[in-house]
Amino acid sequence: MMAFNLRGNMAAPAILVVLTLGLAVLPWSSKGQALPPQLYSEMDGVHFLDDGTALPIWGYGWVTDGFISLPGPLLTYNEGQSVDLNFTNPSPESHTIHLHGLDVDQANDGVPATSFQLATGESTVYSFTADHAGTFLYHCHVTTTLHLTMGMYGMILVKRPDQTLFAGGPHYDQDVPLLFSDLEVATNLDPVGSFPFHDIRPDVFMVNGHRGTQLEEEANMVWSAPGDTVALRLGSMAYSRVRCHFPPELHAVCHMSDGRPLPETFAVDSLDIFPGERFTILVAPEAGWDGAVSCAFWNMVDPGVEDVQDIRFGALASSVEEGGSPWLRPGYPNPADQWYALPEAAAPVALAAAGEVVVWDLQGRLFFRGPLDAGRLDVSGWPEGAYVAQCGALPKTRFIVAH
Amino acid sequence: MGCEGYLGVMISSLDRAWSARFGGVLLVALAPLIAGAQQMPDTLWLVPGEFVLAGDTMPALRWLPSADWDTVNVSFHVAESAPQELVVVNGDTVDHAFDLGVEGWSPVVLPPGTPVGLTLPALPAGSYAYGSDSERGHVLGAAGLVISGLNDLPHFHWNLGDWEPSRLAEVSAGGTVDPEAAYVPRQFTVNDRIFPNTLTDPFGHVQIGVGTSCYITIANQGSMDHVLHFHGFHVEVLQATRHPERLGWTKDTMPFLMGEVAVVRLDAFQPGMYPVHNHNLIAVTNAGLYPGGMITHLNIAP
Repeated sequence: MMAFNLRGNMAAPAILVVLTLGLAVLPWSSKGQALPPQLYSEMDGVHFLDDGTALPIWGYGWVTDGFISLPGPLLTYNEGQSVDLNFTNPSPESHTIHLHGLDVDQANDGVPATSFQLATGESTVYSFTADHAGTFLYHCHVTTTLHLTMGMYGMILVKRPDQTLFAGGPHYDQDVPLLFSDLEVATNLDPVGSFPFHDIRPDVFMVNGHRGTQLEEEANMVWSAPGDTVALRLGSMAYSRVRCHFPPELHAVCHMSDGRPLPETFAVDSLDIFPGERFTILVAPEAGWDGAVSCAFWNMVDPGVEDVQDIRFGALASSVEEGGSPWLRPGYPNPADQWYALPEAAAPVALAAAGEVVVWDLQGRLFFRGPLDAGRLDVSGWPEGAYVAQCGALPKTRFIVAH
Repeated sequence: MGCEGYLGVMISSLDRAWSARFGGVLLVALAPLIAGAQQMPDTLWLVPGEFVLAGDTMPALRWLPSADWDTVNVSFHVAESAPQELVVVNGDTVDHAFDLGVEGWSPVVLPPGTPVGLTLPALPAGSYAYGSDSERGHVLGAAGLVISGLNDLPHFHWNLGDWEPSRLAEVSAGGTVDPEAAYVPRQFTVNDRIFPNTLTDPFGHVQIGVGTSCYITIANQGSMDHVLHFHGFHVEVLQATRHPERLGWTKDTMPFLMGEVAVVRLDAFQPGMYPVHNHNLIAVTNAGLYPGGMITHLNIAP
């Protein structure tokens, strides 16, 4: 059991916290052997909206990354895998991980009253078998109404090595996780003042933590090559009902819900996703199509559309690399000492066209802008800490520099 | 922050090994409380009264097996595909009409104080909502269930409700719902109970043994849509009146539109205590406090 005794609010001590955490739990043993990945929870994160507003969040992150995100990291397992999910809580309050839909046993269910919760400084391992391929979620179950609103959730994919949705199911080319969520700005700005909880009224509506112009960025679009079949992994941690409209050019077919195959697949032009539900939709975009899936967020209490967000699709000239979307791959090594490389398989055409890389520190300050050297950055002289890098239209990657 | 209710206070500080051991003992102790079927009464009374939830005192109407006030609507079982004779007495001060959620049923007017005999039609196996067809009856919570057949397994039911005290007071005083007014429910119930009182409900608290199965009828008799998430289990959808396309689906999270009546089958493959709760998280509160509202447990004995 590790005890970090970390405290602090959002911006000022963030780098110190990240450094302390990152150095304290670097994922290498004294013999240089990699340790299993470990999630951690914190309550001093920042999430940037499309208008630049910085919102305080609580959430999950990889210890190796050193910061939390909204949504939390995507967890991916193989069907049948025995999973030990390592979790540590250096935050000021207790937290859990509820593995939503994985039908784990009571002890690993993540509900304080029936299993256990993790107090400040404690670590644990959630153990379960990923029996069923499919789309699942995870979230904190401590004072759930508040902790979810603050951002403590993420998505889990259980996949099959043969790239089929389920045993005997259809083959597909890439996964695209799409997690709907919402938040109430006033609550995130003042969690203690958010009482009473029955009147939380979300006013920010997101897909994978993004909204508006953020969803128009190439890094946040869904890309496919001619002939590709894309598995849209839809899940909701929202307070809203989300109605997705699928244009006919996508040829969308619903195959699964809540991690189980449907008795009969059906072509889908619109689909309601209620809080906690998941669906797996296979789409085969027509060649060159670059439209959008429109997602309306409906108020569950007073029916009416609160907001509409568009998931934009783009057409690639050639097929993506084996193993799924290149747009979500992390960089390496992490932590980095002498050099840091952007994902080597990350869309070589886009990488070559991007020209330069931009790096920020965790407080959003521009730290570096310049050309890549054979796809790598020389970080040997950089201060230790956590950084975010972006190269052209490729997605941001995150890494720690530790010497 | 961090309030967890009395169960949380009792258990949250204990380690998982203790929890697992104690859970087993608790399951055995509670096993005799497994629900029995509630049979149709000879006379069904519509009774006005008050109920108190987490500090809110609210006017109410309930369907009851006698003229004596109780806070919980009666839900009852009938034989499959057999007509039933029933006498209904309206104890309210205004007319109501007895409504049954089946095709072809015409609401039967119930003048105040006058017993009215009616015949329930032969109902195929399944669950059906009954109530008053008036806004007053709906808002004040006069809504129960008729369960036809489904006798081969233990049966439980969850009658979901949401309540805004000011709206109930206005309608009780003879007013009507302002369609332009924001709806801000403060209380959320399962069988007219809030968590943790849901755990003492013999008809709603699922208590079966591992390796066995049960039916659960879930009806949304409230004024907004709801969605329930099952911990530990998926269930098979056998009936869903507003989602007929979902019959046969296997789900852990199910929506229930206003007025929807659903039946699911739960196969208890693992022991333990598992929550079932609304995943619209405003509805796991009472008067704004968490946890409360629409939470109950599946209690699966080893």
